Amino acid sequence: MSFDLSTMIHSLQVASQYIGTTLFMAIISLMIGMILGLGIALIRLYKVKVISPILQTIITLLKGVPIVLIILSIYLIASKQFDVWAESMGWSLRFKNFQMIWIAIVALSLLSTINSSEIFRGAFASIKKGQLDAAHSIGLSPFQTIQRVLLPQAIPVSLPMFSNLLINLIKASALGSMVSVVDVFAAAKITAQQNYRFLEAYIAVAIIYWALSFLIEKGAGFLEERMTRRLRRSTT
Amino acid sequence: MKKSRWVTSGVITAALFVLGACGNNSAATEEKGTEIKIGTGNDALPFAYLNENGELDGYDVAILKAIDEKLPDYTFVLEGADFSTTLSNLESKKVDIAAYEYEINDERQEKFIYGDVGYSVWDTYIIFDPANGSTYNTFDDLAGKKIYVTTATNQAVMAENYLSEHPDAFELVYGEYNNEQIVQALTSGVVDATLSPQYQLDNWNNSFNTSLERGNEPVHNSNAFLLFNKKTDEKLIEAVNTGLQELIDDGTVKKLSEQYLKGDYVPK
Repeated sequence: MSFDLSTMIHSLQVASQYIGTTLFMAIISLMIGMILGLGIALIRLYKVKVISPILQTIITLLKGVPIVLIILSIYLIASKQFDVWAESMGWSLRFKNFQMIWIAIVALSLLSTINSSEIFRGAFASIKKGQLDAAHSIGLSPFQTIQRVLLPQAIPVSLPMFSNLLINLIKASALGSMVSVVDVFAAAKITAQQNYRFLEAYIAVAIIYWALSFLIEKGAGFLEERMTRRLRRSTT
Repeated sequence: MKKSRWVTSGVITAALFVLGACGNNSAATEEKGTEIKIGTGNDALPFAYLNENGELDGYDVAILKAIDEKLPDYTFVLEGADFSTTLSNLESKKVDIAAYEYEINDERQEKFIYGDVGYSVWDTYIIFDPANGSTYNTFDDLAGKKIYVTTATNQAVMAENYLSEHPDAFELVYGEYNNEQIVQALTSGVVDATLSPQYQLDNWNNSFNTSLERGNEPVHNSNAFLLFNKKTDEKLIEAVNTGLQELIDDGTVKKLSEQYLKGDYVPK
């Protein structure tokens, strides 16, 4: 098999136009996941009755399900049920007018929520229990404790894990093509379908994903350094 | 003493000879003629797949076995791999013949030799759900509609080729749907139509209890052929071609098509 460099460069050009779609899916699901994950971690930290064990069970269940399965299930359930729900809720939106990218985002958000909640839980666990008692003793409300004690310490600790999560989400977003989202990976495959130069397309895709991951890792490292420096300054 | 030793050794030699002859016999039935390696699929139901006994089975495999029976000078040895691996195996001459429902396209025509006769129909039709209110016979009918195609298939290439001549005639929805997703997308109206051969349409309607329909004329004519490496012995190619033609003429291929594909998909 010969390797055609110009085909690869062509694939690289076409595929890189879809970096925005890939990043959009990954970043939106990361943000949704962080918000929901923080909520779940706090509920579990404060051991809220009834909700906490339910969430724990759900997370344990979902952790064991591959993301491919989640995307496909959401698509099939939505294609069968969405119109029924929409009608009963009085929405004018119908499944056929639905942007498929949101199905991918819902699935990725689920993945990121589960992971984020575990990341936050781990970060909270790294904070000594005495600090919570201390905060309580000086009359801080739970909200103030979260805002002033927990989060400022938990976020820098968990930053490398979140950058990992973002990289994982970017890679998982390639599965969006299963529900007809054209992202970097799908775009490259489309360039290859005319001339069957798949190896060139795959290498082009690998270069894009690698570059994205590299940038995220470097960015996170930079951010982490700044945050810990600030934290150190504020504690000394 | 000496005599008995002679007798013993004689008996042993005779026994060995008989055993050896047995071995030779069975080897002779397995290895008659030149061994020809054939590449095919191992997960392409119902064309070439591993059955519950772990043996290669399917429409393509059965046809090859039938050809093998017709050719006493050759013995076919089947090797299963996936679609693109089989192609590169043929290119590197790891196998001499490839059978995996290969359709004709320019790139492949440049690299390989096609068999003379097609053995299954891959005419592509526009497929739609008439319950959604419209019927489509040609690409021209699809103006402004959404068409699903699976990324990197021949069907996607067909649609793209039409679009390159008629820009923005319709919207292509790329994806990697499984069968259930495609049928769901058609019945729920997420897409208006898709492209597929008759065989796949029948398969969908049988499996999902739908009544999808096809346009009256194919938008692309194609059959599946055997592929040979350019260096494959010409005598072999000719023998295989005649063998396959005979099997089509005497109705064996039709019978196999009905057995494996549940219908007659032999090119007329």
